[in-house]
Amino acid sequence: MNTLTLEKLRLDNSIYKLTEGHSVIVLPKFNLESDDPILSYSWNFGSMYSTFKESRDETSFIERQALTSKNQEKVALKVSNVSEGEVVFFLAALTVTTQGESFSTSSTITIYRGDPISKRVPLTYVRNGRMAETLVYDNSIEQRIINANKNSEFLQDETAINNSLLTNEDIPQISTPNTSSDNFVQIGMPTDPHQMYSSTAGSDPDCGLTSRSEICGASPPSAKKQGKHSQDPESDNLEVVREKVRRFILGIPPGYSSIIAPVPMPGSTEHAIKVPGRSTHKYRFAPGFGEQPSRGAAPIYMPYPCGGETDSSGGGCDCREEVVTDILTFEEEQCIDPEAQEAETITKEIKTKRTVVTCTKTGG
Amino acid sequence: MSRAPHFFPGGGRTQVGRNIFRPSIRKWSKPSDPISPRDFNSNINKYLDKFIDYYGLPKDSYDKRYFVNYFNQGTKIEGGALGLRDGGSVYIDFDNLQYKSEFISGHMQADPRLSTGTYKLVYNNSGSQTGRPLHYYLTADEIKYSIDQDFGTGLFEVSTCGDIECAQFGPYIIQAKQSSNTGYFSITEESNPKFLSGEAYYFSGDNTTPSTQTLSFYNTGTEANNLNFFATGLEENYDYSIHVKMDRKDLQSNQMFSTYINTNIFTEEESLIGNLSYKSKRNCITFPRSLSLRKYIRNIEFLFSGDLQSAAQTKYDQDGLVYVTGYESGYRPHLWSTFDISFQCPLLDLDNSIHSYDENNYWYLGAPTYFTGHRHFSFDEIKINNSQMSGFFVDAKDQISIKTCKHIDLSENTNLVYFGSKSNFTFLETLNLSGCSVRGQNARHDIIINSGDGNGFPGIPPGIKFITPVSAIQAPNIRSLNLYGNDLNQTGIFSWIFTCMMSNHLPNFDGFDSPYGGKVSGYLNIKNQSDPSSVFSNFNGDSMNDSVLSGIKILSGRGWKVDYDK
Repeated sequence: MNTLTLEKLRLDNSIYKLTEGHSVIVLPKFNLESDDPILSYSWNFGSMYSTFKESRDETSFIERQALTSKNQEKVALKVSNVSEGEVVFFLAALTVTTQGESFSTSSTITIYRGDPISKRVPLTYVRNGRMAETLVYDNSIEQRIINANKNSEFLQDETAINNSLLTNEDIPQISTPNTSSDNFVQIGMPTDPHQMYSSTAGSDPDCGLTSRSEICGASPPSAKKQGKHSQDPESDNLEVVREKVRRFILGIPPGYSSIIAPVPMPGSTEHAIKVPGRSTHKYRFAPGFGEQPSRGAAPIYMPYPCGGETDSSGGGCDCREEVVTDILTFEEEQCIDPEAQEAETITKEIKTKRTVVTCTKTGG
Repeated sequence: MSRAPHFFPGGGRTQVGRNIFRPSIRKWSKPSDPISPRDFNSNINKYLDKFIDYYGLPKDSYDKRYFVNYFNQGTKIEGGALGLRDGGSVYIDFDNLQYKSEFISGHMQADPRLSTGTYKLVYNNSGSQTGRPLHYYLTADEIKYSIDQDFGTGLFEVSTCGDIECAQFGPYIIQAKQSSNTGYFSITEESNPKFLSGEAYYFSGDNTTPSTQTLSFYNTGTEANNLNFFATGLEENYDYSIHVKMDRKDLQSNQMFSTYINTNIFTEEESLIGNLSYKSKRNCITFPRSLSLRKYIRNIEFLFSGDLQSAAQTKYDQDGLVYVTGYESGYRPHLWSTFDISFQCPLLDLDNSIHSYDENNYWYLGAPTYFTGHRHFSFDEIKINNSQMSGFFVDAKDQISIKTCKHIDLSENTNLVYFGSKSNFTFLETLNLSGCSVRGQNARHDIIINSGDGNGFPGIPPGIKFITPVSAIQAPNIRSLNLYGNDLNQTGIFSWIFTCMMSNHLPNFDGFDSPYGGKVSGYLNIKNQSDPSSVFSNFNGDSMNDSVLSGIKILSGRGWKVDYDK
C-alpha cells in the first residue's frame, strides 16, 4: 500500500497465522524518524474483535495476555484460544516521548487460524414499523484481512452513522491554483493541454441567452448574462471549488439551489455503522421491500456472546439483558364532517418491545 | 398582404417560411449566433480565429499549436506539414516535416550494496548452524526456503511483517511450527553492517505456544544517492519543470510512502542535464520511481452552452445547436514525457562475478539451468557469464524483472540455447549473447511451444506455453545486439533482425531524428553462426535469404552498423 501520509512514528500492520495449537505470540514493531532519544514508551491494545464474536452461529473464546510490561520498547502479547477458521482483529497503539516531542500512532493486528471463514452477522432493521432481522455477509473475510493490513478495517467512531453527520468540513479542501511559479497543482494533472485552465474571464455582454446560474446560486447575480460555463473571475473561489467537489461526491442536490444533500437510494452507498460489541465497519444497506420506505434503517439490536478478554491484570466483561419498550407517536387527521370539510387531529401510538444487551468491563 | 414567417426552433436548423437556415462559419459573428457541432468540427480553426477576434484576445494569451489537436501533443512541426486531400485521405509530405519532441531520460544505477549485500542466518538450538548467504532483498518465501534447506524442513513458517504488498527487505515474522522449544536465529557475516545491519528478535513460547521471532534490518540513512538525467528537444520560449516521484520503504514498520518533488521552473534552449541527489531517512530505503518533464503553456479554452467534449456526439447526431458563451484562460504545467525508473522496490543488479550463478545463490531465479525472473525483483542490469544456464525465459507474471532492465550480458554461456520472454524488454538497450548456443528462434514462426508436454523445448523452463513470435523479442529501445558465434539459421537471424527493425532507434521515415536526441545509431552482429546457411552474399530468390539481406540493407542505410558473414 502506498500512502501520501507521512507520520514520523509508524507501527506495523501485521498478519499472524497460527502455526500450531491455539495460541500465538505477537511482536509489534515500530520506527520513529527522530534523532532525539526516546524517553518513554506507552503501548495500548484495543478490544479484540473476531468474526466468531460477531456471528450468532459461533462462540469465541479468545483471550489476550500481555507477556511484557507495556512501557518498554519491545513488547510481546499472547493471544490464545483462537478457533479454527476464526479471524481476530485488534488495534495496537503506541505513544513515545522524546525530549522535545510526543508521537502517537496505531495499527491493526490480524490473527487467524486455519482457513479464514466468512461469517454472517445479524442485522436488525425497521420494516413497516416492526422490527425485522436478517443475516448478512457484510464483507468477505479475505477483504477484511486486506483492509486490516492497510490499517483501514477499523473506522474511527466519529465517522460511524448516527454518531455524526456529513458536513462541509468533511469535504476535501482544494486550493485554487494560480500562475505563481512555485504554486501549481501536483495531483491529477490532465495530460491534454485543452483541459487545463484556471482563471476565468470573458463573456458576451450582448448575448441574450439565459441559463441556470452557476453552482447552487454560488455565482454572483452579475453572471446571469453569461453562458452556462462562463464564470466571473471572482466566482472561481474556494467555495465554488468546494461545492463542485461536494457535488462530485454527493451528486446533484435535490431542487434548484438546494444545499441539502440528497438521500441516496439504499444499496447504493456504504455507511459506517457502529454497534456496541462490534467493530465499526462499513455496510451497504439492503433495499427495502414492498412499501418499505426507501431509506436504510440503522441496526438497533444485536445480541452477542461476550468474548472473554483479559490482559495481564485480569478482567473480563459482564452483560445483562433489558427489555425496552419504544413508543412511536404520530399525528393523523380524521375527517369529522365531509360536507364542511372539517377534520380533527388525533395522536396515535405504536409500541415496540426490544431487548437491549449492555456489556460492561469488569476487573483489571 | 405579407405572410408571417413560421419559426420551428430546435432540431438543428431554423426554418423561416420555406427556407431552412443551417448555422455555418460564414454566418457566425457573435455569441448569440448558433453553432452546429457538425460545422464546428469541420471548421475548428476558422471558428477559433473568429472567437479570438470577437473577444479581442491578445496574441500572448493563447497558443494555437496547443488548441485542440490532441495528436500533436508533445511534437513540434517546423515548416508545417503539407496535407493533400485525395479521395478522403490525407497524405503528409514527410520531406517537409521536421519532427522534434521534448524528451526526458537518464540512468539510474542500482545501489550495489542493495544488490550484492548479504548476511547469514545462524540457527541456535543445542549448538549453532550457519546457513547460506542471503541477499537483503529476498522475500519471506526465499527465507523460508533457505531455512528449510539449511536447517531442516518444516521447523518454521516465515511471513512478511507489516504490509504484505511490500515483500522485499523485510521485516519478516518467523514462527516455529512446534510448541516445544525450537531454538532461535541470529545474524552474522553482514557484508556491510554500516550500511545495512540486521537483528533477529526472539520471544520463546511455552508448552502450548510456538515461539515467534522477527527479522529486520536497520540503516543510518546517511548515505547519499545520485540520479543523472537529461532533457532534450526543449523549446526556447517555454517554461519547464521536472517532477520527481520518490518512494520510501520503512524497514521496521514495513510501510511504503510516496513523495513528490518539483524543481523550480526553468527555461532552457534545446537540452538540459541535471542531477538528483537524495538520502534515505533512518531505517528507510528511499528510491526514485519516475521523473517527468512538465511544460507550461499559456492558453485559452472557449466555453459553450453544451459540453462539446462529452455531449458533442449527442448534439452531433441530432444536429443540435450550441453557443459560445465565454472563455477561460490558464497557465499550467502539462505532463510531457516521463522516465520510469523502477516499480515496487529499488533497482537491482545481478552480476555473477560477485556471486556465482548457481543454485546456492540464485535458486529463486531458476539457477543454475534457467533465468526465470521473479515477480518482486526489478533488475537494472543482468550480467551472467560462463554459467550452466541453458535458457533465459521470463514469464508474464515475472515481467517486472525485465521491465526496467537496460543492459543484459549473457556472453559465453555455452549452454544457452533460448533467450526470450512473454513480455516486453521495455527499456533494454544492449543485449550481448555472443559465444552462446542460441538457436531457439530457428523454428518456424507461429508454432506452439509447450515445455510441459514431454516434447520440452530446449531452454524453456517447465510449465511454459507460447506461440513462437516473428520478432525474437520485443525490445523497443534496443540499439546494440551482439549475436556473434551462436547457432542461428536464416530463420533465427531474420527474427532478430526483425527485433532491430522494430526499435525506436530505427525511425520509419528519413529525416526523423531519434526521440533520444542526436542521430540514429545502432549495432548488430550476426557473424560466425554454426549453421552453414547463415551466410548472406547475394539476393538469390530464396525468400528468407532475401528478407535477411533486405533487413541488413535497411539497417545499414539508417545509421546502424551490421556485421554479418558474406
